[in-house]
Amino acid sequence: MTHMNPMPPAGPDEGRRLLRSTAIAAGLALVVLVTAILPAEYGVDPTGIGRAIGLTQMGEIKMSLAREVAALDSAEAAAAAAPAAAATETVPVAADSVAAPAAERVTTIELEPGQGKEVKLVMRSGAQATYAWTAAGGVVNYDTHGDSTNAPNSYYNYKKGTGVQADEGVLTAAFDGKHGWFWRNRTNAVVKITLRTSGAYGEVVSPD
Amino acid sequence: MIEAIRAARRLTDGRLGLAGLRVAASLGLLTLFAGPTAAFAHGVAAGDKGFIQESTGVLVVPFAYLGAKHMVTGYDHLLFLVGVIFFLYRLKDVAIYVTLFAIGHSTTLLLGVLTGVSVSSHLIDPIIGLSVVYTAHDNLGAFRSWFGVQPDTRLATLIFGFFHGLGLATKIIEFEMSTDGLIANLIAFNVGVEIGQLLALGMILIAMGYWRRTSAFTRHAYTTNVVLMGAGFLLMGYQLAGYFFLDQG
Repeated sequence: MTHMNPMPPAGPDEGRRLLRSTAIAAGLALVVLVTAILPAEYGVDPTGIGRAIGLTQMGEIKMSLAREVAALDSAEAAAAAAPAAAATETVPVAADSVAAPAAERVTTIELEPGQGKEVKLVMRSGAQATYAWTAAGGVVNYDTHGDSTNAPNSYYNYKKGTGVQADEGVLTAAFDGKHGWFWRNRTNAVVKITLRTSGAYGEVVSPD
Repeated sequence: MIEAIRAARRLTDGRLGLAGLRVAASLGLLTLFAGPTAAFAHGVAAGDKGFIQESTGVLVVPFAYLGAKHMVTGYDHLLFLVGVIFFLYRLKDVAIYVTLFAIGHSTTLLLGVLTGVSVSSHLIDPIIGLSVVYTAHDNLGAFRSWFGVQPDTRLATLIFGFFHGLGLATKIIEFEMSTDGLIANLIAFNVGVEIGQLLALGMILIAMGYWRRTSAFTRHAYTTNVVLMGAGFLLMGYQLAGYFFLDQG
């Protein structure tokens, strides 16, 4: 055996000691698993310790995000399998109207606790839109970004924030595509978002 | 009597020995899903995954870098390496064991990605955790002391290498690499894994070299291997829980 081992020769006592050590190692691992890892990773908290020290809340957010990603993936899979069906979901807009200036539009959405929603403007590259939004009933996390029409994976981030009540500014489209806001309500109450937009965009894509 | 001992050995050994591996392997096979994974466009991916999804064509250095990064920052592979070389004093032995491990994980890494066959990482990673538990026990002579046998350490390193490679393959498949330049990029990734392994090994050997020269080493060697076991158990629990709560949930 090339595996040199200076450990004392194995006897019955050594076997018992090893067994005890293994049990201690496995027991400690189990304690850490149940009180910290399961709550923090999967929101599973059989002892209640995880919630008391604030780890379960993290796990619950991770689990809800995982479910959303899974739902998004299967929705995308369905859309890829049936592109014709997906196209009917959005209101068709004449191509010319995309660049034409639009009057102020008000879009409102409601976010349940834990919910996330998006409102997007269809814009041509370089087009500008002025916007202002406010959150009533609480604060939100937001991600102002654009998705390109031509490259399905491209993403452009304009602005991000957490625990914010309002934001305003001018969006200059980085490319042809849908540009807008993703809001997430991490509070325990319903939050209502009112978005005012004006400028050079076509349709407003919103979930409500 | 002998039959009873043999049965008992099978039961306990099954948790740690080759029988356990076989059980785990067939468990894994049951949940295999064949064919390339769904390559639907995901909204956004950042970091390494984002880069890989945006890239096509042969990119040798970036993929070698990613392979090295995966190894150097992969605590599961590192814990196993520490366990394997713990009592290897001669550089020649280190070379033999590390080569066996490399052959093991390279085989399944390449085969896994090229055939598109993958197993949920939540089922492979517990076996990687088990490999840490196994080497820690082997270091302490547990199999000799419990069952009076010393399983071939080199064979175990090779077999566990296969599972580490499957784990690597699963991660790469999740990355959704472009088929353009896949083989070259995969080999680059694999070479990177080996470079990362040598870098990590160098650091481990230097640290262990100093440690072994101290009188405290022999005293602490036992405790350290028990801590390794604990880490392995923890890894197993963490990943298995992921299988039940995420994959099945």
